[in-house]
Amino acid sequence: MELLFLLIVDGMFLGCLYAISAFGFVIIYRSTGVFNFAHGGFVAIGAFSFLMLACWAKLPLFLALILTLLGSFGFGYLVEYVTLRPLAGKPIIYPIILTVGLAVILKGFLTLMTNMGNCYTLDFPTKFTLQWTNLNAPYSVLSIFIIMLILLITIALFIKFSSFGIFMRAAADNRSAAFSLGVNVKEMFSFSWALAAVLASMGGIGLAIIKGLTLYEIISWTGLKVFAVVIIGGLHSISGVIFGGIIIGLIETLTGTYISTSLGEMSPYFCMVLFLFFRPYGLFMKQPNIS
Amino acid sequence: MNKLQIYSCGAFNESYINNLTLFTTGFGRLSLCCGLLFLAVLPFLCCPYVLFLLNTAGIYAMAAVGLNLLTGHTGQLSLGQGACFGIGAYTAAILVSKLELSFFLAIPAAGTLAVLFAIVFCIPATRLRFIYLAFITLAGQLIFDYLIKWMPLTGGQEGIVINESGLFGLDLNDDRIVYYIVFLCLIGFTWMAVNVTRTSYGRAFSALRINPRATEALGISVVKFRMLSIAISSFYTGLAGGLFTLHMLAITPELFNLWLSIEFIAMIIIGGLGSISGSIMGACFIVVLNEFLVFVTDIATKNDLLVDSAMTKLALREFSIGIIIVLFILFQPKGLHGIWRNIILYFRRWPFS
Repeated sequence: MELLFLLIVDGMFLGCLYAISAFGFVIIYRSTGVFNFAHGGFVAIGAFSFLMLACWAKLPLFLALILTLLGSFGFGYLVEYVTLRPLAGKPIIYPIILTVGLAVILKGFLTLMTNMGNCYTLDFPTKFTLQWTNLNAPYSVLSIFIIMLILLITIALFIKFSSFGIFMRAAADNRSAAFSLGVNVKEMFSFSWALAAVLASMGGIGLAIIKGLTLYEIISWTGLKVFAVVIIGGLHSISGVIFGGIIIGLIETLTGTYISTSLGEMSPYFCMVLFLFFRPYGLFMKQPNIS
Repeated sequence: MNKLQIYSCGAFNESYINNLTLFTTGFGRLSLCCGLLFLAVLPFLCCPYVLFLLNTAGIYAMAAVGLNLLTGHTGQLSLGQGACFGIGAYTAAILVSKLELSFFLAIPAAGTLAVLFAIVFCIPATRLRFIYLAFITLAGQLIFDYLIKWMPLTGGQEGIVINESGLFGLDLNDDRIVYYIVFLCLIGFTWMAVNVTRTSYGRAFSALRINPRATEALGISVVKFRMLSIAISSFYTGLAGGLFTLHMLAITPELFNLWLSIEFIAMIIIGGLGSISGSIMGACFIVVLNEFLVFVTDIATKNDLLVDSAMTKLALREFSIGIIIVLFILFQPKGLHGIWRNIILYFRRWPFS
């Protein structure tokens, strides 16, 4: 019983991290209409740079976190600026295939990096273990999670209330109307990509800490689980993403422990297929739309 | 109907039937015949290594033609083409090695089974927005990777090796025989694909890509034609998988993972979306690129620049193919087919180009 409780807590925690990264995916989809197949790559690159800064360069964790988030903001902006902006007005299939290409580039880049140096088994030194009676975690790690939580709330409030966030949502809602009312739609698109990259790397940092991942595991297609989360929550829905993340996290942890680890890794995809068969628009979306 | 002339400048399409003809001039027909003749004598001209590559390229080209009907014409992105290819390959291998059927029966069976799997799996996606097909095929590909490694029927990690290798008394270890089988299939099915694209089915597919709602209003069933497009493309891919077994005579699960699906997408992007000849060019490009990268990694490992050869080869392939996809989409969205067309048009309009 105690094990079950532990697993549920663990799974929900994992699910929240999935939800954070999937939140970025939904932001990109809602504002630009592009399905970012490279989102898993963004997660991996965030985790990679955090581990490099924290374990290899031996920076303090707080500094590593801030540097990673700033770097991923710039990275997301740059990706949109260089690759997706020239494709505006092309059929939507081109940007989507382009993100598949980006995903492959990121994966290849990370594998090359691990081969070049001796960082093959870069592991987080202070493993974070959650236990029923005592929370066995160093304060530095705990403070990182608190900082990330604060950041997440700030981002949500920022999107909801600041004028910049309102411009962003306007551009997402109807880009030509927003453009004619003086919103700089191009900047908004870049900005939402940057924000999504920040959210993805936040999820990646969390995963790197909680699982104590070796780099090779990050590089494998961990990030693809984001799609399962998004399908379950519904592509449009931000609140659905949280539920989807928690469901996926729970299913993955429980199947992984009680049945087999490899099946646990696969269970999100089985779940995704079931949802596509019986509730394709996710838990919270209703509109049937065939175009 | 067909004027015997070299330049197409005087050939106007005066009726709808004219618009459907394959060759506007006799010159096009002549060059096609010359090309086929060249392909027929090719195995006697080149060395075994090049012949092996040609066979691989031909098999990939068939799968790429099928994917291009789905992605280029119907506008549906599929990330599970590798699984389709794998289902075809495994079906053929199991039928030949366990049930001792001839390849002549096993290869069509491979295509048929791939179609069955694809249709059952893609039923929900036909009713939804086009992107859901990408999601469901991605999930299908990953599930296929998982199942194929754990099922006892497929031989697990070791895969399946075929000892019996004969087809009507022909020796399949001889690459020339395989070459003729592969290229007869490729030519036949490319011809069929061309016919599909220029008849009412192909037009329905294109209409679906451009505006599904208007297509539905015109009385063309979206679900039926999407399903048809998925079925055709998975038949091509499954058949190519069966031919792959015939070509390799030994298969392992690693050959059919998500990476193969991405390679197929790279082929049609490099060749040009919606162009049949482009997909063949793209397949050749990918095969040559892979060989080139093997060559590069060999040099790099010999000079101690890179540590682990096998890992680096994979990473380098991923990196370079990703870069090529991105560059082609950004700078040459019409692909190699577009480049080829530009060259042809340059000469055709020569003094004024």
